[in-house]
Amino acid sequence: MFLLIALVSVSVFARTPMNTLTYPGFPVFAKTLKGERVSPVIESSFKKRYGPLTNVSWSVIDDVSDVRITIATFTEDGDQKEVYYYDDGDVYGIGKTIRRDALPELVTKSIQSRFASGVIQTAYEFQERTSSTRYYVRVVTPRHSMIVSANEFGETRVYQKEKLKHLFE
Amino acid sequence: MLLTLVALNLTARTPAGGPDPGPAVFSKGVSVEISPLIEAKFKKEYGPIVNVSWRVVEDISIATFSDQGSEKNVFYYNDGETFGFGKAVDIKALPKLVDESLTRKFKKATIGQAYEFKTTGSPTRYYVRMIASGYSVIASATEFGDITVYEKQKNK
Repeated sequence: MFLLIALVSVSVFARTPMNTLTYPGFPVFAKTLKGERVSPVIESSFKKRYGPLTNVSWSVIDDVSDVRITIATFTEDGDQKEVYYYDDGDVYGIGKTIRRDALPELVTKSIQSRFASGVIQTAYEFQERTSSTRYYVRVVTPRHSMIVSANEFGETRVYQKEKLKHLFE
Repeated sequence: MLLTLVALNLTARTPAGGPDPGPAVFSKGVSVEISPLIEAKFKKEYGPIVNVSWRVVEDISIATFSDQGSEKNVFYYNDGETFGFGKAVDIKALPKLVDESLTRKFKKATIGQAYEFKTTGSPTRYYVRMIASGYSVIASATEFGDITVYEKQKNK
């Protein structure tokens, strides 16, 4: 699953998490907490917004700053969506996987100009209450795999860069 | 046609007191000559697109052009900095939460027109023109449940 994880740097980004992505087997910044119960406050906040959806699944993640984020995953109009909650029930953000060709042109361009030999593999749209919509993509070059975020205003960030292991190296 | 009742408070570079173009998204604006600075910025970003048209609402210059078959707008400040990006969207494409919160607020009105706008410092905002039997209203909402009402006019 293409999951967005909240990484909170308390000193700089107080309650404004810096975002990163994780994949199964790729949890550098965050980990899914097993056996964690979803807080009733969060569950009730979700139900108030989205109604009593039966197909919602929950996960709880923790990051290097020990901020817990609870994620509700559900389907809306055929698309999978995630809502990210702080412990107090406040919505931190809303995200969904999007098609690569649905990325705004400027986002694609800025990623392509920064990583000329890179190929965008997956794309995820994430919205926060106090930031512009940001797009998280996995970019693969012949040598590296990266998680990069960009917005339409030309800001790009690289969160993870891993060297790819080649068969004949 | 909607009158341009754009009460843009252009102090501190933030129209409508925040990163919010308000009803200007539905305004026809005024066709004027565009500053070379803004035109150059546009061309740098989008290339020499021939079919771009320009309008100005208050101090915001708006480029309209076609991108992959759909019409898009880029909003620029006077110094060439991008204020935001917008496009008309299908009413059915509005996020469910946005649709529901607007319908809840304006119970007897239906959404006649919808517009998606992205700017720095805030999530994607959806502007709608809603029509009821006695009035029409321009409002906006985000997926976080924030609703702003800009204009409410009695139908003649």
